[in-house]
Amino acid sequence: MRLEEYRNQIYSCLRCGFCFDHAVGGTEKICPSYATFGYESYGARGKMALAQGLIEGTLEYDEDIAERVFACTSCGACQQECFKFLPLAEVYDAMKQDLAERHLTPDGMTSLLDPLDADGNPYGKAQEKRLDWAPGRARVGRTAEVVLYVGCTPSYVRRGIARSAYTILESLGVDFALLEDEVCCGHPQIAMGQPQSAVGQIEHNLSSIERSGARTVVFACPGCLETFREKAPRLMQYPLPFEAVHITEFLASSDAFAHAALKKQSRVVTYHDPCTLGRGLGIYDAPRDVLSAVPGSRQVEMPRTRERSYCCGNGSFVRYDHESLSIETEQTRLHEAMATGAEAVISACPACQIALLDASRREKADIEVLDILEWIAKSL
Amino acid sequence: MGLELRAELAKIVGEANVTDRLADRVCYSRDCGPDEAGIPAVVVRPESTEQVVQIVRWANEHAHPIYTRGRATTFLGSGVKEGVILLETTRMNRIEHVDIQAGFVTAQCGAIWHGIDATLRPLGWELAVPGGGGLFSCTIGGTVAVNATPHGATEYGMTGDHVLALEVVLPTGEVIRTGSAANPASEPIERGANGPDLAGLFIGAYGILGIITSVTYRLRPVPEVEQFRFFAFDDFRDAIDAAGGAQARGAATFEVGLFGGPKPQGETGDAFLHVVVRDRAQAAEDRMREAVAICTSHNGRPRPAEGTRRYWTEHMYSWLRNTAPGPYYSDRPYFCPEVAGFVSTQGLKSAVSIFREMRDERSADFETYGIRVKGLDAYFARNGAYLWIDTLYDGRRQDATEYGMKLRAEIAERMFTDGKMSPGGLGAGIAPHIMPKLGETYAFLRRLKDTMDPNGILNPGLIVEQGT
Repeated sequence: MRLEEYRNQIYSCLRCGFCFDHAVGGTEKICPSYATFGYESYGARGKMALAQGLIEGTLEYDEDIAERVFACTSCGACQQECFKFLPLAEVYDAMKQDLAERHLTPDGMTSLLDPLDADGNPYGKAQEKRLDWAPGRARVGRTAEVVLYVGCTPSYVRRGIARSAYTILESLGVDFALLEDEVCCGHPQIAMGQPQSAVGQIEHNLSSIERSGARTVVFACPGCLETFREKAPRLMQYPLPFEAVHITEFLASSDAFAHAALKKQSRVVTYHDPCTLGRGLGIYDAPRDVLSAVPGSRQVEMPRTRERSYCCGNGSFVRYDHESLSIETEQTRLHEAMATGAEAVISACPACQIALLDASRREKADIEVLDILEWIAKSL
Repeated sequence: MGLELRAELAKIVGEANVTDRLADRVCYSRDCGPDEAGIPAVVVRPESTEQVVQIVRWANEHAHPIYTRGRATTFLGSGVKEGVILLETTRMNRIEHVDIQAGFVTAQCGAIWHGIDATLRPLGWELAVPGGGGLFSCTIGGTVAVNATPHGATEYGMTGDHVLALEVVLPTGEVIRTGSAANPASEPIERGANGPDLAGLFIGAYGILGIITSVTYRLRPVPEVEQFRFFAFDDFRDAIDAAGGAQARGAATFEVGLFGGPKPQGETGDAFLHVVVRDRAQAAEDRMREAVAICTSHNGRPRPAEGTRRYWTEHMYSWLRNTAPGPYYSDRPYFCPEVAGFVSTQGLKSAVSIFREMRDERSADFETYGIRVKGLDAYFARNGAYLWIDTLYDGRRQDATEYGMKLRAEIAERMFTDGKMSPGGLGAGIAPHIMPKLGETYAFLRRLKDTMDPNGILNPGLIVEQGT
């Protein structure tokens, strides 16, 4: 049982409950799953109690435990607040791997595996249509300083993000390429506790990037970035031969972007920190710096922001098995954005945009939901 | 029985708010303390007083025990028994009324203490004891039910001191309101109205005499300034005298003495004193000047007070030692069978010496079982000190666990007799060792419990044994 590796950490849980509410005041619950389902077993303290029971043999892995472990958006808020700085995400990953080995991964999530195998993406879309959004083939499969790794969701579902990323890089004169044979980064398999089944995709993408000669790979999707930057080196047991950056990091450090003549957009906007980009990768300032570059706009912060941002409800593919969790969480977050009075809520993650759009359409909300790249592309 | 029980309770609270799944139930067994406890048969989550009443009435009819739980953030042992109904209050989290002019807030029992404070602070007010003495996620009902010793106890007193009114569901299902709130035409502005102080019956009673469903609590204005000082002493008795001097003069809002455990990071000395003053700007200046003069006149050496500030503002226990939780606490599978209670300020000298002797006498055992002393700390209260004796044992080792629990009992009994300490924190872990020593007082409490809860429905066995 992989969970055994975390025995010390599991016994170290103080059961203080900091993982339920903000440590220094606030009435909100921080865990989307606990906020939705209400029982401690869905929150970090409860899952640590389950983990202890599993180690001690008073519990065995079953469907109930699987439901609770996988009903987690991996937002990282519990780990952020943990009084004892316990590596809760690693404990959950170990539980997911144990559950996967026992064929207890929930059905919805498992349904992603076949299309991933067959088509290289979780949506079951044809590989040859992956680059249909691109304005021509000039940058496909060439050598360049920079590769734009597009990701499955921008390639098939939120193509405005892919087009915007392309437009921005091109307008800044960046020497960049698109991979001819890009496939899914492996994030879904890692999220469902089957990291080894992602190795083939990771190897495929790494060798494709190697052929491009790129020293820098930019990502529009934080999930893909996290997979490359954090997970792949551990799985492959060697460092990446290139720098992996989020596109907002790339832009924030770009002289060309700093000197770009962006058009004025006189609007009030609020930025939603994607959990994977923020708490996961520690990237808070770059997106805000990029937003600030647009003249005339004004940023307002939601009360829950940066390290204490609230999840959009769309992380770790929970929607496939726990739609109510996604719906409740995305509504909560949208309401927080609307309460700022902003005219647009801007995120830097395709999954966040999907969630917030879902909530916005359901409620016919009077707030635009944009990805940061769409917002910047409008200003070019 | 489990299925029937779940179905009956679902009629009251709805299907989504009662569970008999083992994966849910195991999470409602223990609190933050080390005591093993039973697994409830069901967990039920009411959202209103009326639902609590219906649950209690059903439990009475079927003689089925109920254990009430807020966020279970005490270290004292909630004493949950196998197969009981676990009534969890966190859905009852509404802040029902804030009256700034009259200076009170009324909240349902499951509202989170810090959440209430966060709501009040933008208005310039806070609960009369910040933090409530519990961990961050403590509920107002639970904190009052255990009468937690709060941060700021030196000036503000105990949690229960500021309760203006309670709404309580009695063990037999009646709902009462205390103080002026007992008059349906009145407001909850005065605890000492309409006869005896009934609120006092439930404060610190650990829910054995009734389920607190709503609390009306006094507010105070957020002070203009907060000042922090930290002193090292080469003789712990000087630290106690200094604390007592500041106590007598009303100089400090909060004094915390450290008399054992690891020394604060980078510090030398036998004992240490954190001093916090909160007040209007000029008053805080004057009071802190006096506190500093008292400490230095008792050979206290002023030291950097960043740890004091962090401790106060973030309420992190381990930061008492100016140490982030990581280096001291994290990745250590240690549990803390704490003993805590009140001694007089001067009596603290004897209590500290007794524990130091106990520790030295048992040094070989401590070595064998890997026991560590996390803290021998005192919150100075208004008329004495609240001493925490925190030993740690390794929760992975059965022998260390057994020794740790035996040690807790020995410390509790020795401190009660020789140390003249009266436990503030009781719970399932300490009560069996202490309560019977209270003689007629304990007998009266048992009669009271028997009278109010004839079927032994509420938290049976916690604090008092019934029917023997």
